[in-house]
Amino acid sequence: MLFNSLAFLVFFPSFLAIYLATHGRVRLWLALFASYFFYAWWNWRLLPLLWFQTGLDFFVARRLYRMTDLRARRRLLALSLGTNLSLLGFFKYFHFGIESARAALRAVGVELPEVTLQIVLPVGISFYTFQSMSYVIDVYRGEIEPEPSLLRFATAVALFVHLVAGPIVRARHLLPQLRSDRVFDAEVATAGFEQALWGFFKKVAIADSLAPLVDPQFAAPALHDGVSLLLAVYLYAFQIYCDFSGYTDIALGLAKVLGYDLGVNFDRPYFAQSFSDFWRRWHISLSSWLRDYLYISLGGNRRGIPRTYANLMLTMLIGGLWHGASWTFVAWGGLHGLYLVSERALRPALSRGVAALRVPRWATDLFARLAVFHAVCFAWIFFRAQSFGTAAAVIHGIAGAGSLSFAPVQNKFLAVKALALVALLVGVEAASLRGFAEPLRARPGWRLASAALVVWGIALLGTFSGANFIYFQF
Amino acid sequence: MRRGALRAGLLRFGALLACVLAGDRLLAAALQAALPHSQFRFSVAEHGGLPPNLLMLGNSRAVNGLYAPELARWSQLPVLNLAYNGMSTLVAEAVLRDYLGRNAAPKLLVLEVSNVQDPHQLLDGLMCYWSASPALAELADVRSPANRRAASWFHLYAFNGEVPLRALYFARRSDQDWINRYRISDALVAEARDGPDIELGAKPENLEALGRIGALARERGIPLRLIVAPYLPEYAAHVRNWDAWLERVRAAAGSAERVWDYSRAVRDTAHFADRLHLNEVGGVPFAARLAADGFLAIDAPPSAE
Repeated sequence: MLFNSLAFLVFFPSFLAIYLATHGRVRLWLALFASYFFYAWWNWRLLPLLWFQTGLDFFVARRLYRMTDLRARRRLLALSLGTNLSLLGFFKYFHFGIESARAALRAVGVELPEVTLQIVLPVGISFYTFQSMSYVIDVYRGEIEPEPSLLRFATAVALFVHLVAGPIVRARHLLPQLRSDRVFDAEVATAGFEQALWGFFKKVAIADSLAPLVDPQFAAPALHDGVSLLLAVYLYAFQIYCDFSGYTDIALGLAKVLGYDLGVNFDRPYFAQSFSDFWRRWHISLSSWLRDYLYISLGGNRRGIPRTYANLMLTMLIGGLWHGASWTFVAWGGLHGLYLVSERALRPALSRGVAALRVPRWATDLFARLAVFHAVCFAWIFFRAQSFGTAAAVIHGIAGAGSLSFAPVQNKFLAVKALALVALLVGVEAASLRGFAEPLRARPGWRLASAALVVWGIALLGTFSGANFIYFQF
Repeated sequence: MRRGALRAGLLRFGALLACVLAGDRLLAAALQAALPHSQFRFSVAEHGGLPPNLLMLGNSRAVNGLYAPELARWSQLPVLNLAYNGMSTLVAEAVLRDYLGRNAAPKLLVLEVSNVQDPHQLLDGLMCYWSASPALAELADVRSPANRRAASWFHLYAFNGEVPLRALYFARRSDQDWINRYRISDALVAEARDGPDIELGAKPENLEALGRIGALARERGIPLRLIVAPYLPEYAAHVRNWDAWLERVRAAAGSAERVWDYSRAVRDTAHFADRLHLNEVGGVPFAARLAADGFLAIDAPPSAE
């Protein structure tokens, strides 16, 4: 079930009405049943996989907690992580692995037969697998105690608001909230409703309006001029941001209506002044997961500079691969790894240079933001392209643009609309960054009017084609 | 306490709903009132009172292939190019019926017939005109009932899409000089040249609509010209069923209407914006050619071939 579907428009109010009328275990059972129903709406056949991973990690965590023998604990942890990663690997990376192996062997003259196996990628598997794994690792590390109630743990894993595309909510964050009935708070619920509305706007009015100026260009870059390709790259940066952060805003907003705080997943990432700042603002639940469970486990920055750089690269490469079974995602992660390594290596020299030149602070801030944004946009080319050939064609087309004339851009009207929507988004985020919005939010009339404006904006500018959220594929 | 919070939440939601609905009605009414005063083609038609003119219908190939300013110059008639991107014959029929309900019958009606292939998405694109256009509304009742309901519940939804924005953009200036002003890239020409063979199709409901347009024109005494605007020659070379397709279209139009086939009439790729559309460079001489061929003659319409 998609958040931007008519089915969900019926599902959520119905669920909310019953949810608010129930208490305790009945409410948990309701949330769990509704979450499985939400998932089954897409494909009920893959529910057992979710049940299996939930059950496995629940029982492994309980057993881990009781065990004292270090080697046995490690074996049990390896069993859980191995099983989770094997399932993720099979469903998500099987064909990728086979095809990569075939290509590698072909290069040395060995031809393997083609493997054809129809594997359906379970929606949300990357998200709930990481969530469930973090719970087991936290118990192993002794950072949390295991959850005694399977019902509560299963609800934490499957809660429909975050199940299919995150955020990756840590068990230590959500489980305590499930231990008592969330009390309905009108103020929190209103804020949540407003956040969900803004998320809908970002998804259906902005992201889906940008898609027609991005998809054809990346489908056949050779057929488009350099300016159209450049525009497509910039617009894709905002399309994926609005698509994913829009989804997240809906998820977090609806969770607030239910009384749950799932944290923050995006914090105006295109205002980042450094690459490390960008990763503190973009898909925060994933980047913090990778930091806590991968980068730090690899040694983080505690084992010298070369090892720190290697750890950064490896973390980002795996982060890239998490997004999908393609070398282009790995390249995207690799580029971000290079950015982070370069930043660490060059930062002291850059700081000294800026200080020596007495460049005004506002100028360095602006330059840093623009530089980070453009580097991020460059990396998005690899993320969006279906192949390295496509990415190369996009880059080649942009580099070969004779001029920056807007004339060859097809459907200028859509382009102007898209740019206006992006300008609106940037304006809203800049205002919130500067704190302009806060005094206004204190006025009920303003909040009512702005929520109404968002609804009217959705009606006027929304694209209601039922387009999927991009991150569902991950 | 919890009941109080719930009541407060419901009150806030109710206030928002009331505000949203009130604004929806007010804003939509204001937009609806402003719409006929725009200089955008459909608004001009909706406003009504146009004199006998040269009226053109069709999809984007007619928008770009039948360049209104040049046709006005050559025909010495007021011209309204009422064609629009993706306008199928079925939608064109409804647009024509609504046009005739408010304006004088045109002196010459031109229909670019490659739109017999088109689906009917433009019907939804014209949502903002439904409430004042009985034929479009009737078609929407049958072809787009969900959007018809949505637009009746939430009035602003009728103004969703590209058409209302264009009407807003062209509020004070005519859109009749709208034409592609760029040239097809070499890569697109190569793609068309190396492309697969093509069978032109036609949707049955579009062919039926074409027949009804022909009958309506005859009934109202409106001279009707059916035309196929130029295709990029590299693309046209791949079409395998020109003659059969033209005959199908001609037969659907009825009464031995001639189809003026210019599909392969322009050879210079510099005259095209893409494989389907002329650009300004091509549109200007093409209008002159139509005039020279007698396509725009009204008093002595050329006999059918």
